[in-house]
Amino acid sequence: MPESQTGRGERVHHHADLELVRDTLAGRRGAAEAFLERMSCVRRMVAFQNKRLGGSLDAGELEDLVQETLTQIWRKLPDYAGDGALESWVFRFVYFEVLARLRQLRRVPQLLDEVDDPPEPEAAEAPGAFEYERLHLALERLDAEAARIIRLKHYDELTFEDIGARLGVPTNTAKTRYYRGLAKLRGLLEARWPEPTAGEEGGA
Amino acid sequence: MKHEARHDEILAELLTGASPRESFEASELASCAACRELAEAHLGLAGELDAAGGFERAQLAALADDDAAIELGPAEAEFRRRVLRDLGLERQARGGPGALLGLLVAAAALVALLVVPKMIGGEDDDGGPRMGGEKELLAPVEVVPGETYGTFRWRYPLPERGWFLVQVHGEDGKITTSPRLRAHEWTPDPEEEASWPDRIRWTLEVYDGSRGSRVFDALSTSAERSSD
Repeated sequence: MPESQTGRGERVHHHADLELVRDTLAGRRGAAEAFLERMSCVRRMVAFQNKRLGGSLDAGELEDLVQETLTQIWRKLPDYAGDGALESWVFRFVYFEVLARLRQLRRVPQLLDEVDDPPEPEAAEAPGAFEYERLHLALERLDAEAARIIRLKHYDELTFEDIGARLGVPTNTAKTRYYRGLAKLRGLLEARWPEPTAGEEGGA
Repeated sequence: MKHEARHDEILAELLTGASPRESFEASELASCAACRELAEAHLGLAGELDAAGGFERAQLAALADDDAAIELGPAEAEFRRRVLRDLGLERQARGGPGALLGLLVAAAALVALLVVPKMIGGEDDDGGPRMGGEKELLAPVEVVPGETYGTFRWRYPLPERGWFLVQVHGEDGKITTSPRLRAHEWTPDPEEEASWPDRIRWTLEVYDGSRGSRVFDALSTSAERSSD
């Protein structure tokens, strides 16, 4: 996996990966072959996540999941902006595809209505699996630029100066867009998962 | 303290500055209930996002340490077929008995390319236009004189209930995406375009509404505006 961080907060913009993706989509054979080779990481990631989340997917289900994840990646590939290594970007697809599949098979708690059900013992070792899914889903619904800035800030640990430089805007503009984006994200989260009123606390 | 309109700007500055919680607590806004509620909500979500980022980095690090043997399977083979087919590279990838025929076809295509140099569209491995016929990117391509890229134009059969999207990229990533288009041209907002770099790559994406999916036959090219 290409190096993506040279020190705390100092992230490299993955021009080479971005070029690879653009050239692939432009139909350049060499790039397409290189891209296909890089996507061999998907199976490893799927197997890895399945293991961490309890290992309940059998070989056939894993095979289907690899295929579906690759399809998703191919569909979303034009959105890759080079903010992280291609594999890091792919990882998010894999991670949440595995979770979604396990949920579909009812082998992990549902997002809303089954949160009281305890996860499988091995899945319980990875609490973030469930805790952060709602953030991921809300970020997916946020407008692309706001989501990108928030990810650059919190997932890639960039400073506002770095974010501004990455986007080609002044630092204060990056701050303003981030602040507004976070407010929108909060709105999305509250709309979907409203805070319980005092009377509802402790209830179902 | 009663909430005032000026608080909003100060709060935004505090919460995007260094040590936001400490800065907020030390500020006059700490005694404003409305500001406190907003600050707590903001800082709470920022903390969750930090944790999510940390979780993702830890997962990636664990994955990098995972050395379990992995054997690729039918899913990758199918994916490879699909990618090459979508990119129009499938036929060229085949070998065996058909290879000689493929070579002859390629030679004929080369001759046609030399004889009919103006049939353009897309981009080849040298960065130049690709033979396109009914699928061509017409403008802007290569160097565009003037301070604007002008109207984006293309030729491409529009699927039934389909639409086009134009994606514009600069060196640092995506700049903009057009709205859904049924026309074969799109003129970006001149004010927005003024902030674009002098070199862009643009991609025409085609969507088939009846299938609800993207037609993976996107064309892409680069353009450079020059006021010289």
